[in-house]
This record gives sequence, C-alpha cells and structure tokens, in this order.
Amino acid sequence: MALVVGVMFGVSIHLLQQRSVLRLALGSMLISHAVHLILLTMAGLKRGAPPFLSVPAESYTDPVPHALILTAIVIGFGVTAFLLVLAYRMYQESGSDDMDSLRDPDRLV
Amino acid sequence: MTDQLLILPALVPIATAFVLIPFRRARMFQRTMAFLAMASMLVLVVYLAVWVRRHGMLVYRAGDWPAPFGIILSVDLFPLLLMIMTMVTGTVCLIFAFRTIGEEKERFFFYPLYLIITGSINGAFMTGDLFNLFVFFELILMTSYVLLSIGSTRAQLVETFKFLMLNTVSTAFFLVGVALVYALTGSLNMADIAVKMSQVEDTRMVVLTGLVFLFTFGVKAAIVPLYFWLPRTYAAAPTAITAYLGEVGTKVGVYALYRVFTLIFLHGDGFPHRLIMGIALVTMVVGVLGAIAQMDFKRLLAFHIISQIGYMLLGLSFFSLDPALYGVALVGLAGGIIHIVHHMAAKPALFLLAGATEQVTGTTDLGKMHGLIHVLPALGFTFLVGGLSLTGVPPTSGFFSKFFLVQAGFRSGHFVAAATAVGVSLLTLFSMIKIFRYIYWGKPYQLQRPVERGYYRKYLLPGLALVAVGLVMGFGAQYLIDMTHTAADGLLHPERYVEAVLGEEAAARYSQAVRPVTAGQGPLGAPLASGDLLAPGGPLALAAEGMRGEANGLGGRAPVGP
Repeated sequence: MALVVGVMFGVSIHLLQQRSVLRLALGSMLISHAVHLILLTMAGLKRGAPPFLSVPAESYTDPVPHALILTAIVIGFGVTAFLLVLAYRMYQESGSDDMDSLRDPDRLV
Repeated sequence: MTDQLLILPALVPIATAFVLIPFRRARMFQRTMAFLAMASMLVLVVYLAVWVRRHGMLVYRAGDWPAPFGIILSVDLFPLLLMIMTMVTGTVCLIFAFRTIGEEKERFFFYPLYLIITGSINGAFMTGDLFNLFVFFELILMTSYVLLSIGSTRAQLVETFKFLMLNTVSTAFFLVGVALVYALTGSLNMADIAVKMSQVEDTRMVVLTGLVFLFTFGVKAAIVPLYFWLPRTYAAAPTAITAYLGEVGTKVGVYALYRVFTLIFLHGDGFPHRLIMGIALVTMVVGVLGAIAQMDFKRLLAFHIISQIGYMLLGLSFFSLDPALYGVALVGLAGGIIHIVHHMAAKPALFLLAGATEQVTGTTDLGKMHGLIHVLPALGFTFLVGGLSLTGVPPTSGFFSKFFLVQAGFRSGHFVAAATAVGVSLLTLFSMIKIFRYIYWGKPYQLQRPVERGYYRKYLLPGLALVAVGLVMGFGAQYLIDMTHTAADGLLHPERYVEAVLGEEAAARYSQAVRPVTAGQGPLGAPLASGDLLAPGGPLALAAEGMRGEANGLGGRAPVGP
C-alpha cells in the first residue's frame, strides 16, 4: 500500500508541475486519491469484524477512517467539479490552457 | 444552557444563507437578512466572550456524546476574540458591499456565499475536532473560490484557478496530517489527541506530523515560502471581498497554527517553535519589501497582510511551557493575539479606504493618482490615521502589539527578532508614506466628473468605522490588554482546555507529560480572574518585575520600538 501511495503521489506531483490545465486537474484528482489511500493505510486495515457495536462479536473494526475517506471523497468531488468548470471558463476567457501564458493576467489583452 | 448557544455562530449564518438562496431577485430582502444575521451574531459572540471571561471555557457536545467520541465545539477566550473581530469586520464589509458590489453579483448569490463563509469561519474557530476543522476549512475554501471568481473577469478566473490548485495540494497535506495523527493516536478530538500525543515515545514522528500541519496551515496563513497566491488573488477580487477574505481568511490559518502548536505539538525541544520564529522573521521582511515594491494600491496592501502575519507568528514562537519563561511567553503570546485582533480591524479599514478611493479615481494604480487630499480631505485624513494604526504609532492599538512583541524579544534574548520587528515597522511606515505621498499629496487632482452626492456617507463611513474601532482599542487598551493576556494565559495552560473537554484525570496525565518540572505540585493553575492581571503578584506585575531585573542587567531599560 505504501508503495502504491508513493507512486501515486509521485505521478500526481509530476502532473501538478505541468503547464497544461488539464494535466493540473488530473494531478489534483490523483493526489486526492493518494491521500484517501493514506487514510486507509494509516488507520490499519482490519477485516472480518463488524463495525457496529449493536452486532454481537468478539472484536470490532474501526469505522472512523471510512467515514473520513467518504467525507474527503465527497469534498474532493465537489472541488474537482468546480475546478473543471473554472478551468473551462478560464479557457473561454483567455483562449489558452497554458499556465505560462496566464502568468500575469494584467499584461494580457 | 449557555453551551447550547455555541452552535449558533456557525449555524445561523449558514441557515440564513440557505433561506436566501431561493430569493435571488429580492435584493432588499437579501440585504436585510444578511445584515440581521451578521449583527445578531456579533451581539451573541460578545455575550459569549463576556461569559467565558467570567466562567471559563465553554464546551458544546453535539448530541451529548462524551468527548473523545462525539463532535465537540470548544472555545476559550482566544477564539472568541477572533470571532468578535470577524463579526465586526464582516458586518462593516457587508455594508460596504451594499454600495459597491453591483446588482449582478448580488443576484449571483453574493449574500448567501458571504454568510456561508462567515458561518464556516466561526465554525473553524470553535471546533475542537481535527476533522471538523478540515471540513470547515474546505467550506471556507469552496465559498472563497466562488466569491473570488464572482464576476468572472479574466484576472479573477486565472488567479482563482491558481489559488484553487495550491489549496488542492495543501488540502491533500492536511489529510496526510490527519492520517498521521490518527495512526499515532487513533483519535480526532483535539484534546484527546493532545493527551495521547504527549504519551507517544517516538517524538520524531510527532514533530514530523507537526511540520505537515505547519505546511498546510501555512498555505492558508500565507507564510513566506507559501505566500505567492495571496497578493494577486486578492488584488483581483472586488474590494469588499478582498477586505473580508484577505483579512479573516488568513487569520483562520493563523488561529489553527496557534491552536495546534500550543496544545498538541509541544515536542522536539522547541524546534517547531524556533522554526516558526525563523519563518516569522523572514515573512515579515519579505512581505514588507514586497509591499514597498508595489505600485498598485490593493496589491501593496495585500503584501502588508503577509508581513503582518509574520508578527502574529512571532508571538506564537515565544510559546513555552517552561515556568521560568512564563513571563516572556505570556507577553509574547499576548502581543501576537493583540496583533491579530488589531489587524483584523486595521487592514480591512485600509482596503475599504482603497475601495473608496477607487470609486473616485477609477484606478488602483498609485502612479495615476495625486493630490486627492485637496478634493476629499476627510478620506485623506482617515487613511492617514488608518495607516499610522497599521504601522503602530502609539495612540492606536497597533502600538501595543508591537510593544509586547519587542519586549518579549528582548527579554528572551532574541535580539535579532526584536530588531527585525522594529525595522519592519519602520519599513511599513515607509510604505504608508509612499501611498500617502502618491495618492493624497501633490498637485490637486482633476476629477473626471464631480464627486457623487453622499459620497462620504456611502463609501467612507465603513472604512472610517473600522479605523475608529482601531482607535477605540488603542484608547481602551487597558481592557484589550486584560482580555488578550487572559487569552494568552489560557494558551499557556493547555491543561485547562483538556480538562474542560475530557475531565481532570486526562488533564493530569497530559500535564505530567508536557510539564515535567511542575509535575506533582498541583499542575492546574487557577484561571485568571478579572482584575487579577494587574494585581500585585499577578502575571503582569511579575512580568514587569522580571523585566526590570533583566533590563538592569542590560544597562538600562530595554528599548521599545514604534
């Protein structure tokens, strides 16, 4: 798991350093997934026990990490949706998806 | 009963926002409701602050679940002071927005967004749960993306996009930090984390986790290596939004740093705090130099935010639980807190005055303005007072924060820090003089069209109100100093926070771990009662005594900067 997370972080940071807006968006999605995996790994993966105290069992798994990941996924989804719309509007306004040419918007026009 | 009120400062604005969403065309209704929500919450947080000052911490347990399991809101005096300033600034900026924001933006859910961001800022100040803090941060960020890009000019879209990308990364690291904390402690409740962290053997892991949080809150607070987004993002947005978000939004990051580095991450022999001091000094210098170089009114002021963040972090860096350093830490932290409180009124005031100036001249370029004081004397003189307040000239509240910070610097032997704080003040003054000279002095300005009737009432009044708040805090400094020292005393006794949330047993365990020196001799000092502060033998008296002794050693009273 640690290896997978490492690779995902590496790829997403590579993508985040690109100039193209689309790659930036992909990078941000990938980094959030890498983080969800970290949350899962760090909490310790346990299987075969119920997460509800109402179910009689000898041991229980910890439901909190899953709740965290679920919340983080929902928030990440919202941010990604907004990011894509914003990127599209930005492309409409400036006619470019190259971050280099968007460096100082005052000097455009 | 009072603890039940604690949910309201987060709930009421957000609930009002949802009520307003269907009525996007009813502008007067939206304005009235937004104003009522802000003003009533202002009254409420003042009441809560007075209550907490008398009776100690308030803890609200959602659904009455006991602390480490349920979600809690917990406030001591420090967050309440910040919330008061948030509501004051928020209300004033809202009034300024009535006049300036424009009908189209008003229809485009400006007021609901404004209320949601206010509610989530209050929530972030109040929450006692790390993951809740994350959720409130995300709420603040999402709404600020929309508020910053509302109006969709090219500059706004591009800058918001950069802001969003940077925050995606910082959010990712926030979650990494949460994951590390959860792996180390198995808890998300801040007090519980603090207790369990204090028992962790491998302190390197804890320090590393602390640094992850320093990074992620640092992006929000715009400390130096992470500040690039701030000046441009905020210079592109409409003035009312810049004044509110630029000021209050960054303070949430600063507050989070104060909270976690006085409660949870106390390990590593003070390394994190020394690192924070280094960052604070660099932030001050870089921010003010950036400000001096700017020729755009709003960008210049935005760079000042960065430099002032440095002062706030400098206050945090004096934190220490060593009883021998209590006096220094108290004075330093109080200085930092006064600076936050002062700055939350002073900086938005200047932004609003910049907005008022822009209304007349139609530009924010310093080079294109001159001699406005001949046309609008009241505007010029208000700006003069506001600028001096930001610089820290005595009758204003800015003086007291720098006074205490420099004092703490000299008394703890951090002469470089104290000297930098003084030097940066001078440079701040220089940049204020630059603005004043370019915009208000010089040959009289030729107006394109006559000044609108009721100009002062419409545009100057909000800025003037905030400048007046700064002056009132300066002249009523006794009260301000009392409140902030009590808040700082609370931060210096994190056991009280733990005790209020988890009970005495956990607090004793925590105290034993973080204060090896005082262990066994009644770790919980009594909270400061009103009036104790200046009593003989009280903290300030002790601090003053210590200072006199040390000052004699230095051959005279320690010099005090502007």
